[in-house]
Formats: sequence, structure tokens, C-alpha cells
Amino acid sequence: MAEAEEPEQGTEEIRIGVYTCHCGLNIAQTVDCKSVAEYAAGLPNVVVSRENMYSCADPGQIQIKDDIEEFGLNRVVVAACSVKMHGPTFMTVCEEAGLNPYLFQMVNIREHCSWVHMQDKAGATAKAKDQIKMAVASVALARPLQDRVVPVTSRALVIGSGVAGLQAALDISRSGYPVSLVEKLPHLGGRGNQLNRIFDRLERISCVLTPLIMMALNNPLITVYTNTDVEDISGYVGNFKARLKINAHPVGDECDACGKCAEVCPVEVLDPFQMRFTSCKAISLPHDEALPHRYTIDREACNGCGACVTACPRELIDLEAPDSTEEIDVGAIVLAIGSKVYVPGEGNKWGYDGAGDVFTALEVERMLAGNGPTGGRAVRRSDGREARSVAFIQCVGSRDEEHPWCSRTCCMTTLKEAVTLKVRFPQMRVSVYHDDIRLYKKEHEDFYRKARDLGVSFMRSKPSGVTAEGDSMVVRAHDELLGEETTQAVDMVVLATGMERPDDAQKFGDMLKVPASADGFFMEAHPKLRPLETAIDGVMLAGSCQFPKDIGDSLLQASGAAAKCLGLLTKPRITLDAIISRIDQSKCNGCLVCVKKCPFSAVVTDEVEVDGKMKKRARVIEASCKGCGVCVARCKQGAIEAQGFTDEQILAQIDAALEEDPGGKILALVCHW
Amino acid sequence: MESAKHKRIELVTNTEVKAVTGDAGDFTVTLERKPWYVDISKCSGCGTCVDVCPITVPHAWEQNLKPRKAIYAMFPQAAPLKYVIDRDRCVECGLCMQVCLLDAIDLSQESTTEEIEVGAIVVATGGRVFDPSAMKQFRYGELENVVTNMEFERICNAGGPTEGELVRPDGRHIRSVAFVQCVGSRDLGNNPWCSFFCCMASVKGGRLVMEHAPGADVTVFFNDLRACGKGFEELYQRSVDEGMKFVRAIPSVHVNRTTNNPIVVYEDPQAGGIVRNEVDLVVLASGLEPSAGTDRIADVLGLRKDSYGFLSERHPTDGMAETRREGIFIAGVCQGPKDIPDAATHGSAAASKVGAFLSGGRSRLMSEMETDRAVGLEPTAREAGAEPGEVTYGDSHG
Amino acid sequence: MCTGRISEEMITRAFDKGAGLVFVGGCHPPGDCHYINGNIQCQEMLEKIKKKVLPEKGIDPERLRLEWISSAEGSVFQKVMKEMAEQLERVKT
Repeated sequence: MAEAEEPEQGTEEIRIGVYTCHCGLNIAQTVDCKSVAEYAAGLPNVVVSRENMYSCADPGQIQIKDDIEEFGLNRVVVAACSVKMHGPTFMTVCEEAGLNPYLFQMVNIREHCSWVHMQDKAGATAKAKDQIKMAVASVALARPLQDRVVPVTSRALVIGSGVAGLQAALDISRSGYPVSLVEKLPHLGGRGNQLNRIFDRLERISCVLTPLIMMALNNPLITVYTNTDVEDISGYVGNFKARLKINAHPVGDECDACGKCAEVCPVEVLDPFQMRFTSCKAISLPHDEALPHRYTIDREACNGCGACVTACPRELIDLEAPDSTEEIDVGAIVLAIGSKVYVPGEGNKWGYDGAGDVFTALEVERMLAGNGPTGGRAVRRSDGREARSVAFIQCVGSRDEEHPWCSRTCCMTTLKEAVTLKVRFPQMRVSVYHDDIRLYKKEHEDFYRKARDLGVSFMRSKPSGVTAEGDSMVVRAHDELLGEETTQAVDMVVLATGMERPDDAQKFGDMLKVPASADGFFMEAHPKLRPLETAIDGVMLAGSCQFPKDIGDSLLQASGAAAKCLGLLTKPRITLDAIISRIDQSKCNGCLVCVKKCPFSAVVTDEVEVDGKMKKRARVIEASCKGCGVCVARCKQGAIEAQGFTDEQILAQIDAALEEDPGGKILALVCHW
Repeated sequence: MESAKHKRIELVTNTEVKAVTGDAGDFTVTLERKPWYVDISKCSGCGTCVDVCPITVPHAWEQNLKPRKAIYAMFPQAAPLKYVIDRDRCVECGLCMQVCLLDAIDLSQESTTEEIEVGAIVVATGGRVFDPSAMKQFRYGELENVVTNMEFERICNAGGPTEGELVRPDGRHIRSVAFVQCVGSRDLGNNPWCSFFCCMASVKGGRLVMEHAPGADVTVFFNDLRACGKGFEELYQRSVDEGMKFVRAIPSVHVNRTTNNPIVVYEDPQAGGIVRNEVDLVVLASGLEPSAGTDRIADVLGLRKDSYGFLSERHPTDGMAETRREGIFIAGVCQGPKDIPDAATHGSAAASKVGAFLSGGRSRLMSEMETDRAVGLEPTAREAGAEPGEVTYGDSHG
Repeated sequence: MCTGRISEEMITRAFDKGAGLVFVGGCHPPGDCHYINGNIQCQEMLEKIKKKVLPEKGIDPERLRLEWISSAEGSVFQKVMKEMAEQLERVKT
């Protein structure tokens, strides 16, 4: 980038060149460009004013460069199309001619003028003149600015080790970059571990999950932290600092899962992995395939008797093992903290209480799993009898007042569980109460047909309630097709429960300033075009913390998020524009409104010595600042300047706009994103 | 726009992939660059040539709702914004040559063949919209005011044939619209799969109509309303609250010959039988199917297709962006119907797989690139406080 | 730069210079703001200006209008501008 000349403010002679573009006929057929250019020539400080057929084409660009040289221009205004379209083009032109690109200003006389005033040529021409007058007034006050260059730490932090976190970590590492993978639980894999089979090929989850975990554990570029909380993250894109609290593992790394500890443990708890169907010991291995393959202790349940300590043949158990803290530097972050499965609360109309014969979909996943509590059989909780009829109820905790979103995956989950049941127990009566059956992938529709062919009956009706009557569960519903109330007695009811944002969402949202959508899930930078990034540069999203997703979509999004991280990590440093706020601490009175109001936590407090006393003064972290200008508008002291959009510049524009016929004008102040 | 300006992306448009030889990591791709008849290094995209061109033909991009000239750009925001001559239509009058200030017109251009070497290939050839002409009950092609969702998109688009004015093909303003879902989709006689994007596209289209013409009557005929993406259900419910009607029925289309209005006829058990509803416009929510380009590239690359003709992914759960042929990746609708966010995600995922593959150092080309990158990497690793030796290349295909 | 950048001084300067009407346009809250909540901060500021600052200066607060309009809502922008143009005709007389 060109060296910026730094003349004393006010002593430099301002020499402005103005270029009015015809854009073929796009502008010229509505705006009288000749008269506009003549008008611009007469504005203060303008030394040259020209019109071009196409300012953006080579001849137009060369003209500007030549003029900078010949006329000693130190400011350039181009009146043409939108700044998004060609602002960078002309900034580069200025830079190549040795002029600081921030001494350039673009005026949009196409979208903002000619295209919207096609019926009023005189009015459009007058408006174009005003627009240029405003830009000339503003650019005269512009100062040369330097882009920010910040180094990038070439390591990624992935938070959460479900399928999404694992895949993101693996894909980043496969391109050669180191990753810190943090999991708050003792074992990797997240909720996927509890699933049975995945649609639509009905493969065992472990066929997908176990290889992912093994690859992550064996990858030298991936540092895995289990049992670890992310306590704090500070910093900014390319330069984050994360403080990890590594909760002690009372069982050492070399555990070979012999199980002697659990044999002697006197404390029994309901097994959370098996959805509390069965119990396990306070020291346990959640399931045979749990990785890392070592026992863990439920610290809340453990009575500290020490029986396991003496039983361990390898003397690996230390109940007093201390927690530790570690700080790591990372350049990019992937949030992959997953979601929470909705569990109907007390007094719900579906009669779910965690004990009777109403189950959640996740409970059924455990029941159907080979390593589950019932060995793959659909067994009633009330009397241990095998179910001969099952009714699924869709949209539980979705598409209702409390959860106005659709959880996307539950229809396919139900189809999968219904098909599994029908295949295993062909005599079983399986029905599904649903509203819309929502499928979204090319193979899903075939699966739906398969379910119908297998004899699963689909009823488009909304159940009003489920009650236990005799030894049956009775589902009452309104059948939309027949327009009548129906009742059906079944052995078992399964609720297709939706997903909610996870409990940790608030914590990480606050920590990273990543905004949430109305549904509580993390918000992506753009719902259509940037679904993987967040408003915070350097923070990406993967998996169901962004919105409910199936395993395949989570993996795909994770790979995509990895690509977004690699886009950062592959660069030793990144350049950020100079449009940021700057605080003059000598004017700051320490009210710190800016610190409070900054949407990006980019304004921090310094302790500065003023007249022998320590005083609080605000400072902008340049790399974190996005240049919104909120702090500038709030500062009563005039201590903050918005570089590129200073008060003087904006007020000069307002004055210029309202110089003639102010009462006949509407002045618009709009977002410049 | 962004990819057109990116320093490390070379845009090669108006070009067909003719052959691919070699193996993963070291492909040789034969490209046929078709003639533009315009020197695109000179063309500024000013469009002066268009004004003088005397030949007017229907514009397929605008769903033939609007004409174009024999020299044309696909649309005003096309990237690169360069003009091309349709030689089948051009009469070689030479008017464009006379007006072009940049001397960019070159009618002597011919196809050229070029070979490029690449390590990996991403296929993103998209899909096409189902043509409902054969489904006689909708009378598409026969009735002027029955259009497909793609045609409707152009009608709504500010840059489209009607400049965003909501008028139907016969020129009348649109006050009532019926959207018909699942046209050609979820239909064993046509396309058995669900195209997914069409439900929300109709909800969006209906909202546009209601915005343009407050009080407009919008009905969506559907089977299952598949609003299962972020914010989709909320938008659907808001539309219901704002008066958009959703009817679970499959209508057929008749016509009122006097008004030229289509009439949708359907069975509504709640209304007690057959209902006839005259509307200004019927929009057929046509599904997505594999494009001809997808078919062709599958042959060139030797890729497998699924039973529907979409490209087969390596695995539907954990290999969605890969194919069974190493070094060849897929993104977007060529693999199966998707909406924009899902396609964008798929694209990024493919990029990540390519990155990993190219970092694997399997090929001659790539080992050169690796050296480049390693140079860039070292100082960063040091800045991060990592040992330089810590930065090694990971397993490429675990 | 966000609508959150707009300061009281800019609005008062515009009216001091005799502007007929002042329009402030930003992105839909809560989610559309590229700067997270700059739009809401702007709204807070403008409400204060409408309630206190303008009446104190004897300026009709109706001459200041805030609207959330996304880039996809050309027709909304058009509608608002037409309404304001009509309003301006009334204000002028």
C-alpha cells in the first residue's frame, strides 16, 4: 500500500478531481452529465472535472491516474454506480497512482439517482449536482488512513465434540492446521452416541461416529480436551485467547476399562446414557464404545468412599486430582455446541412423565439400540411387557407457541424408528399422528414410501391428549381428513420431540458476542449466503447450535465451517479496512458509555494517569472494531472519531445538501453497510 | 461479484469441459472455450452494441418473457459483464462493430481448445426445473396465465421482463394467484423425489404478491408444506396470519375464456365438494431435476448417478460432498435438490474437502503448492508461539 | 457505518439548516443489523430526539421519520418515499 502523505491539517491545498460517469446510457439518459460536470468544476477545491462513458473501464481509470499526476490531485470523487460495485476499483486506481485510497469518495448517481428518477430529468440532474457537492465537501475533509494489518494465529478452537465438532476439527487438521478440540463431557461424540441407526440407510451410528472420534484422537494436529469448560474467550479475528478449565479426570489416562472399580463401587445411579432406563455405578463407562475408553466418576453421586481407589489394579484413580487451567491462542473458532432435546414438562397433555409408557424419540433410540437397556426390544416401562402397538406423535415441542420453529429432523426420525420397529416386529401396529410430513433430501421420499409399504399408518391429525386407561395408552385426536374425533388405544406412545437451543448458548453468545436468532439458536452472518459464519469475524457455526440438523447436515456444515476457518488460518496476516473508531484519551472523561454501548465489545477501559491520579479512559481495540460508529454518536465529549466518517465530514455533507432550497428536501441518513 | 474479483479465482465462462484425463491430484482437463465474437479483454460491458443490434429474439434467461438482441449479456449483473454474440441469430450487419468504441467485436473468433492441469475438481452443475407441459391437468403452455415458478421469479424480479411490475403474461395486473405445489415432484409418474425448495419459494412468492398488491388473494395448494429450515415455519405461520390461504388439495386448471383467467378446480371436503376458484395467475411449483450439464459431466468424469439421475455422493451421511472417484467433489443441486443456504453450505464443505485433499501432497502439482504454503505458514506458527515443527500436514483421507 | 452512528447533532443540524423532512433508514431489528444492535441504539436515540429535543426547538417531531427497510424491500422504500414526498408538500404550505 502507498505511503500516506501526512500533511498538517489545514495547511495542505486541497485539489479535487471529479469524474462523472455516463455508464453508457444508464446515467446519461436521465442525468445531464455534461451540465453536472460543468457544475462540479465550479465547486470549491475542484481543479479538474470530467465526464466518462465508463469510468470503470481502462480509459476511465487511466484518465484518473494521469490527472492525479498532471494536476497534483490529492482527492478524487467518482460519481457513478454503487460503492459496493466499484468503490474498490477506484480505491485501487488511487492507490496505484500514489494517492491514499481513503482520499477517494464515490457518489452513486445511478441507483440513487438516474434509475429512480427516470421520469424527471431536470430533477435528476439537480440531485446529481447536490450529491456531488456533498461528496466534494466531505472528501475535502478526508484524511489519509492506513488499513489495519493483523497477524493470524494458525490454530483453530473447536467447541463441542459432537459429529459437527469432530468433523470441523478433522477437516481443519487435514489441511495441515492445528486444532484444539474442547468437550465439556468426559467422552467424545456428543448426543450421536445415544442414537441407534441413522437414516436413510439405517446404518449404525457407530459406523460414522467411532471412526470420526478415533481419527480425532489419533490426529497429531488435534489436541483433545475432554471434561473441559471454556471459561472465557477474548480477542478478535485471528487473535483469540481462550481460557480453558480442565476439570480433573479422577481416572488416569492409562485406564484399560477393566471395570474392577465399578464392581466395588457401592453407589448406584440411574444411567443417563441409557436415558435412565437402567442404573449404573457412580464410576462407570457410559457404553462399550465410549472414547476415550476410560471410566469416569459422577462427582455428584460419588460418596468418596475410596473403594475404587483400592480396587484399581493399575492404581490410576485419584479422587483428589486437581482441576487445572490453560490458556490457548487461536485464530478462528468453531461453535459446535449442539442443541438440547425438548422434554415435555410437568402436566403436559401427552402424559409424559419419564416413567410411564409415553416415551421421547431419544428414549426410543436407546431402546432400539443393540447396546441399549432392552436389547433392541420395545418394552413398556409400566409392566415390562413388549409393545404390540405404537403410536408416534409429531411436532412435540415444535411448531407450537413456545417453539414456533420446525425442528426439521423429527419427521425422518419418526420414519426411521417406525420402519425399524416394523422391520423387527412385522406384526406390530405402528401409526403416526402428524401435521405435515417434512422431508428435505432426495432419498427421503423413497423412505417415506417404504414406511407406508411396510404398513405404517399415517394419520393427519393433531392429538389433543394421551391418557393411561387400563393397561393401554389412549390417544385422542381430531382427524383432519374425516373431520371427526378419534381415539386409539396403544401399548406405547412415542413423542417426536424437537430441538431447542442448548443451555450453554447464552454463555457462549455473551462471551463471543455472537447474536442469537429469535428462536434462540445462534444467528448466521447471512441466512442465505453466509450460513456458516457469524456477525463476529473468525467465529463459525457448525451443527445444531445454528438450527436443528440431522447428522449428515451437521457433518456438511462442519466441513463448510472448516473451509471458512481455513480461509483465515492459511493467511499469515489479514488486512482490515481503516473505517474504525479512534478515541482521543485526552478528551475522554471516563464516562465509559462507549464501553457499555459497543455491540462488539471493542471498546475497553484503560487505567491512565491524569494529573497524578489513576483515571479510567476508554480505548478501541482496533482489530475488533467494525466501524459502526455507535460509540461516536454516544460520546458527549467529542472524544471519539469515526475514521472515514467523521462528524465534520457528515455535517459538511448535510450543510452542502441543504444549501439550496432546504425546505423542499428530504434529507436521508441511512445505514452504510 | 466476489469470485469474479478474487485474485486466486480464474473465471472461465462460455466454456465446456470436453475431457478429463489423469488421476486424482493430477488431472488434465480439456476445455473448449467457445467464441464470444467479442474480445472480452476489451469489452467494457457498456451495452452500446445492444442498442444498435437489429435482431430481436426471445431471451431464455427471462424464461422467454422478454426479448434480447443477437448481441447480449445474460443479465445486467452478469459476471463477467461482457457481451456475447449469438451467431445463429446474427446477420453480420456490422452495426455493433461501428458503434463499439473499444473495437471489441471480433466475428472471426473460433472455438479454442485448451488443457489445464488441476489437482481436484468440484462439480457444481446444478439442476433444471421440471417442464410441466406434459401434465395436461395444469394446461401449462396452453393457457397464457399459467406459469412455472421460474417464470414467476422473473415476473417478480426488478430486473426482469416486467421490471418488477406484477403483471401477468397478458399484461393485466395480478390481484389473485394460486400456487400449485409438487408439480412433477413426489410423483411416481414423473419425479418421485421432493424438491424441497418449492414450498418456501411459493410462500415467498405469495408474500411478494401480497406486498405489491395489498389485499391480493393468494392460495397455495399443497400436500405437505415443508417449511423445515431456519425461520421457515415462522414465515409460513406469519403468512397464514396475514391472510395467505393454504389448501391441502391437488387442483386442476380450467379457464374462463372471457376474462382469460385460469380457474382452479379442487375438492374441498370441508366446503362440501368441488370448488372452482377463478384467479389472475396460476404458478406451478415445478420441482428440480438433474440438468443436461450434470448428465454430460457425469459421462466425462465417469461419475455414478443415483436412480434419479443426480450425481451419487460417496455416502449420504458422511460423504455428501465427495464422489467415489478420488479428487472429484460435488456441490449443490447436481447431487440433489437444495435451497440456497443448503447449496452454499454444500459448496463450502466441498471446498474444505478439496483443501484437505490438495494438502495431502499426493501430486506433483500439489507438492509445489505445498511449498508455497509452507513458506506462508512458518512465521504464523512462530507468532502463535508454536514450535515450527508442530505444523505438519495431517492425514489426508482418514 | 451503521444508523447507530447518527448523532443528535446531525439531526438538529439538518433542521437548523431548514431541511423539510429528515428520514433515517436502517435494517430490521432485531436480527438484520450487520452491527448487531446499532439499529436499536439508533432507535433509542431518535425516540429521545423526537420526544424532547425537537419539541424544545419548536420542530414538529413528525418531520423526522425512522423506517426499517431491507435491501430486498424496494417497494417499501418507494412507498415510504412517496408518503414523505406528499408530507413534504403539506409541510411546505
